[in-house]
Amino acid sequence: MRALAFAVALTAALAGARTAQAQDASKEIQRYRQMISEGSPAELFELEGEALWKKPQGPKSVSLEKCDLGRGPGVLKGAYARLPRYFKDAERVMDLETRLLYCMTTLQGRSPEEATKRVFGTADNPSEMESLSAYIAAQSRGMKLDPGLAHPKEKESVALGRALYFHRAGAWDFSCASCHGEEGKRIRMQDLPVLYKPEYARPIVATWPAYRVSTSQFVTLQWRMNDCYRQMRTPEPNFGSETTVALIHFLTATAKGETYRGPGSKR
Amino acid sequence: MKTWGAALAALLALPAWAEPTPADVQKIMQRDFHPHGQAAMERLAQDGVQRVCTETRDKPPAEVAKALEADQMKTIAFPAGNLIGNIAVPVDHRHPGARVGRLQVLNIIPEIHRGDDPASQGRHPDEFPVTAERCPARCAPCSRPGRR
Repeated sequence: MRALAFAVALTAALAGARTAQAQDASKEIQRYRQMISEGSPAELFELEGEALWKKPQGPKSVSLEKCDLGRGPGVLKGAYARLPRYFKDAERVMDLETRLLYCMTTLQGRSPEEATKRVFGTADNPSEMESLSAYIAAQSRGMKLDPGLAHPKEKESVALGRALYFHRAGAWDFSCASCHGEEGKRIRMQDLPVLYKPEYARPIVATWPAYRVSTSQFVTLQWRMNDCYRQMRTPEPNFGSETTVALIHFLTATAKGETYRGPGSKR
Repeated sequence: MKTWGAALAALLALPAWAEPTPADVQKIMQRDFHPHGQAAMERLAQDGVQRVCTETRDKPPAEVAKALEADQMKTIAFPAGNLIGNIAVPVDHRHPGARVGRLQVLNIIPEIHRGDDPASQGRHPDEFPVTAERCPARCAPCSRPGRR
């Protein structure tokens, strides 16, 4: 009987120690995130993005300053916080990068091939799209995320995003929910938030796009979708496709109401 | 009144917008993706298990789950022969008595016991590969580390 009591006590003590250890690790991860968020190099990308926004480019040699991101031509304040949304002129739902691509082709006269030649950059050579995203997203800091949800096309887009989130495919039998569908999951130092639940989606979506410390790169949501599919071993999604925009739309709709705090920093 | 209440509750329970079916999603993905390296477009075609899991949000009814699991288990072909090869049971000399994990074996191979075969004494492990014949079960644990 005494042995049994001892065994029970030992098991409880070990379980307690494990919980405390997990909590300590979690706190340390939190502290690390806090440290990298202070003094983020994202500011440098914002500066570069501003220069690109104002730089005349393409066959028409005009800047993007007249680009309408949903708040009127050239209005940047709060534009990012209201994306993705339906754009009548393009007759489709667009996120920031897709809309920028639209402006590059219509305003500047650039071909889609040329404008999408290098949408994801490297540590040494960031892409135009990344720097522009940093600059434009920063103009929504402090504003509530409020993506378009009223137009039938917007409702359709969110519904598609939700379906895609749970859609299993590929050689490894993955869906987004395989990693982001269960509470308490983590890969190495990275939490795997349950992104179809608002309490998890809000803090995450509100800090994208972001500077990624481990790769010294500024990364965007289009990149995030692309790289998740790469990790799922599927073929590659087209940049700005209905699929990637719908997923971004679904995540942003889930995070609706959160105050935008980006561009943030990721591990 | 009750009927109206029930109808309203049913309406509110509906998703904000009808979700596309897995077949619709597959069509959209076929249009929106392109092959990349060894990842061909065929990978987007769902098999039966993927489809059931998608439609049930990864929670198929217990009987269905059991049948699917049994089917999938049948597809696993175990390799013939000895799964761990001919290597002797390793013992880590840095931590006598400790069991050695499978992955650790690679790191400590030069240190594992050579067995009590006199031919092994004083020879580098590379010159004396450990085999089941040379180091049968009775030699583990044994006491002479190989020379590094």
